[in-house]
Amino acid sequence: MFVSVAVPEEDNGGAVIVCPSLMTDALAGYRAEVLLARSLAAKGHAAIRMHYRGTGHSDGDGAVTFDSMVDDAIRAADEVARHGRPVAFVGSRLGALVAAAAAGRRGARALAMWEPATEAELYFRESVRGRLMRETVQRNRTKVTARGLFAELAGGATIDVLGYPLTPQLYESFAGRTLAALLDATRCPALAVHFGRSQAHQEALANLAASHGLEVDAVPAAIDWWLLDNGRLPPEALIEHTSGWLAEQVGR
Amino acid sequence: MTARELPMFLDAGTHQTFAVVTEPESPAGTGVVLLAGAGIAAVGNARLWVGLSRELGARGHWVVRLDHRGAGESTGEVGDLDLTEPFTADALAAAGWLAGRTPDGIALVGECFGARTALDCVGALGRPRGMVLLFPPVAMGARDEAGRRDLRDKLDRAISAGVPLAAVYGADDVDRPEFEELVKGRVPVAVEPGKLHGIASIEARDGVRRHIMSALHRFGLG
Repeated sequence: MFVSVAVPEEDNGGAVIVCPSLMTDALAGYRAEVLLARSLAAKGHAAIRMHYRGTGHSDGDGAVTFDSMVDDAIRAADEVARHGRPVAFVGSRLGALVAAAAAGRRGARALAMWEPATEAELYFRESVRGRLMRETVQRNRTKVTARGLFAELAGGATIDVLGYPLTPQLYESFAGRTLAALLDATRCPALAVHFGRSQAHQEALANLAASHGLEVDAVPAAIDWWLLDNGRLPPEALIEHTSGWLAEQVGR
Repeated sequence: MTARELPMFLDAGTHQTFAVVTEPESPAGTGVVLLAGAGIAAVGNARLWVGLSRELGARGHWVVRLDHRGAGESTGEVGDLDLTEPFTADALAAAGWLAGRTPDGIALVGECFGARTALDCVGALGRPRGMVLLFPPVAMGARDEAGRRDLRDKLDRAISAGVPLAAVYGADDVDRPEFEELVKGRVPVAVEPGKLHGIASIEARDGVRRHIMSALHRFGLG
């Protein structure tokens, strides 16, 4: 597994495990997560980023499931916990569900999320819409429909989402996963940062704020998860806000 | 990572360039540098560079895939992109690391902005074994005459220097007609249906990969 550790110069004792999303999302959010890790290290906390097995620079190809992703996050946490560090998790998009599950299992000090998927099913539907949108933008539209693609998936076929395989195993492993259910199993402070992109998403987060005490903040950011925009930098406010909140939670 | 991959930071002058080196199982004396598009981490769109590195490593080539400055794990920042100022120092740092290990030379494969970077290495690199240019952008918009002139000059220089070149485009990639007009048959251009720029499907990724392997084979890197 590819793991990168941002080591703090002045050690304030905490550790944060960064759980990326998948597919195009993982590339779109890559730099923001690197900068977040460096910002945390500058505040005195170790930040560990990983590429789940079967993704990114890690070994393997395609055999990814919700459980394997959570196991990878826990494994990273176990490494740093050996040094007695309080651990927090942060995840973006689909990675937020992984971070929330790991935080619940590991008894984390805190959980932060960027644009968290509130329901895995909605995320995968959005990913397929992203493919169809891209084909339209590129005037490369095939005759497939979202319904047709999900029927293929249900029939046991792997479908192509913007160059990444969405396997039936991955899809089924996330079936029924919701952020609300995962937050039920966590006992730590949780923050969700949304980028102000979708009213429906903001309403879903507001409901979680009311039902689960989720802290919700907005930081406008132009990260486009499905139509990659080369070189656009994540806003400093997003990095600073999130690293500041996490540092406060895991600091001694 | 696989057991044959080594992550490292290379000194590129103003910044540290992150690279993943794939060590060949049976070294053939050759190397390949993979240059991603601007802002794209060395994993590559659709994980192209990861799969390609491992395939080339299994065929005996050293491979370096790298994060340009300001992208992925590298340090540094990038403002507005300028096609006439590619990230040459990053590519040369990778080529420098390979130099002592690849007596039979290196090839460069660059995607989009990375293709412009590859072309800019001619001269500094001597005569590389070849260059595969994946959907090189001709200009940043209709009025970018400097970008056009720069590409023409660098293509002329590479061709004059006898560097074997190959280009790959999708039939609907916007830069293809202008590029073909510019090279006037002096560079073989492989064309796949639809758009390849951005590599947004498994079919596109596999098509691009097939063309890269075929071009490297022509360059004598089996």
